[in-house]
Amino acid sequence: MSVRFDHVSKRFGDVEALVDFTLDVADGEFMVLLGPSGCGKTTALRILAGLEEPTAGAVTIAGRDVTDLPPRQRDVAMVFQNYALYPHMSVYDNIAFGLRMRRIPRREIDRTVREAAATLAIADVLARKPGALSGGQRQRVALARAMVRRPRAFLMDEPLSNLDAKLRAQTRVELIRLHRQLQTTVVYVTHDQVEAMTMGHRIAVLERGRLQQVGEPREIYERPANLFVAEFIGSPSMSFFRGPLRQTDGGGAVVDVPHLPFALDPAQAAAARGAGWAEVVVGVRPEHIVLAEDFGERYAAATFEADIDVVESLGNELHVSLISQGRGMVARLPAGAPVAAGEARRFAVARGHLLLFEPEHGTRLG
Amino acid sequence: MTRQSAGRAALRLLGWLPLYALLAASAAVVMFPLYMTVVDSLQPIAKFLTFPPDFWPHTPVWSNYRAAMTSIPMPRYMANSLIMATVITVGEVVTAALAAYAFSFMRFPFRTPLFFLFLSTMMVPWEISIIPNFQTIQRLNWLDTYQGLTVPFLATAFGTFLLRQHFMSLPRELKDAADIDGYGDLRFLLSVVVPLSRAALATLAVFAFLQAWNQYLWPLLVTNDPNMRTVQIGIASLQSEEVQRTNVVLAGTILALLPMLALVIAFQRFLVRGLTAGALKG
Ligand SMILES: Nc1ncnc2c1ncn2[C@@H]1O[C@H](COP(=O)(O)OP(=O)(O)O)[C@@H](O)[C@H]1O
Ligand SMILES: [Mg+2]
Repeated sequence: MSVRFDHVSKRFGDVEALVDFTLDVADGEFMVLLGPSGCGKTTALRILAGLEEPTAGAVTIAGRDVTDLPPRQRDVAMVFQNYALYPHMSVYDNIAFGLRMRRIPRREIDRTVREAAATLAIADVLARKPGALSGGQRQRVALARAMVRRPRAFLMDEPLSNLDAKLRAQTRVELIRLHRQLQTTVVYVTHDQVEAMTMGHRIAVLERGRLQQVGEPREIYERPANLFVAEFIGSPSMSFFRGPLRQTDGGGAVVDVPHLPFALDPAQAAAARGAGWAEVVVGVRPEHIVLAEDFGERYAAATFEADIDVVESLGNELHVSLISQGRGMVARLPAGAPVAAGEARRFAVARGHLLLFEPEHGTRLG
Repeated sequence: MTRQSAGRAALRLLGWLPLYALLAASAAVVMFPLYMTVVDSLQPIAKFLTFPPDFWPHTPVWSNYRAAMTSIPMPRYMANSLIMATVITVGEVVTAALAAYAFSFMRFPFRTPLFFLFLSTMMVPWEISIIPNFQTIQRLNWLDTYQGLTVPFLATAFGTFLLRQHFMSLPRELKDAADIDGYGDLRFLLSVVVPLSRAALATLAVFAFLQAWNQYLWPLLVTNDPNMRTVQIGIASLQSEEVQRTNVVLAGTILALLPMLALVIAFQRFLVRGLTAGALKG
């Protein structure tokens, strides 16, 4: 079912955990709330579940205002960060617990529990207590418990954060598959941008209780709404350079970063001029910094000399930390690129990929 | 290498030795009077209070115990004590669990100040409230009744405090999960909190039972009818009854002790766990 946050705010004493938060989640959508720790993601989820009362605003599920309803009448299921399994009950009872309150015949409950257990490959541990399970198994039990309820929406609070890297990657894929199969609305909270990018139909980026941007993963990556989103999304992070905007002859424009002037495309130059900004922050993604020798200078927005500080090899690519005129930045080069720490090389920034931000408020041009 | 570590292990053992010696000595000091009570309760009266004392009953006189049972209506007193202690224990555990649940899982204004106000009643000595309590019981016409013996003890701040501290250590998410699963407060208390608090509940039950069983002043005040008297009062009357035969009095004391001993042994497993932190892993 569709879910809507309507100008929701939440204060805890002096802390504004959520500020005028509005978000529409479509029926069947996989929506990710993404942001650093403490930005209000969990608070938003708990308000949606009915575990927390908003200070202001309303929550609707399937078009109905549920702001004043207790959790059990909202018909949502939640997967908690540390799973919150009942430690004294068997896996079977943990999964069946929520069904027993719903006057469902025992045989029906049994069938549902076993079906879910089979789907999540935990059928062989149904008799065990949660304490005797691995982290991955506990996580599946928590998922099964949510699944059997056939809720109107799944709420998940960093469900993968307690798993090791490999299991996390594997479970990510399984969650995507599960969602495709169930087609139920998911509101998924994480601080991990890889989870957000890979799983979300759309991502809502939060910072300090405020919604920064909502959009599809690609849109968030390629057209971040502001400096915060630009810096938060992408690993390694974007590099930023600040300088005055200077017009050039022939209608062009240059961001005059000392020793590293960036030539703008005509369209971008026109837009920057139109916005009337005196200074600009230029953002460059690591994959858009390349070795100048591989690159025609006329496709470059800037070329510069840099010292190679550290080369990190990931097997399929290199993350290269550069220092140019005292400024640090990171380039992402293909594996086998001829670079070594301690060398000085010439680099180029590819044209057409510069992002321009207004320095004070951080809003992006365009 | 192995030689060295063996030497170190021996040294460590030596280091433990003084501690164990101290523990053994303390145990002996604590146990000795109890041991001598048992020994003397089995001695014939002639051997009683001789010097040097006998540390072993060479000819145990079991009839001392029969005398203790018959010289006063001991079975009746025992039954009264058992009823009183059981009712008080059940009542105290139930009310403490409910109150502790409210103070740890429910949200209401002034929760913490109210809890501390509640706690502060623990600082008021029982002796201060004994007169008003007695007058209340008298006005209710509850003298010489089981209500009179038990009702004033059915709810205690101590029990609430003990359970609340334990409930606070349970993960909050369990309550959230139960809320979403559709469980109300009472069902959550019964199907999640209680099973997870067995050790704490058992600890409270044992303490409550021991305290009730050992009560003296209150049963003395509110009962006159010999049919309503409890075992501790029985021991006192045994003392005046058997001035000549202190060994019979000691036998009566041991009899009064047995139910508690049985209880502590039965619940030992829980008591040790109740006092150990982190009893709830997994
Ligand atoms: N029950 C609470 N009492 C007081 N402050 C809280 C409470 N819950 C959350 N907060 C505060 O609200 C802010 C947002 O918290 P949260 O929603 O948990 O963030 P996130 O899940 O994004 O890490 C934080 O500053 C946190 O300290
Ligand atoms: Mg959180």
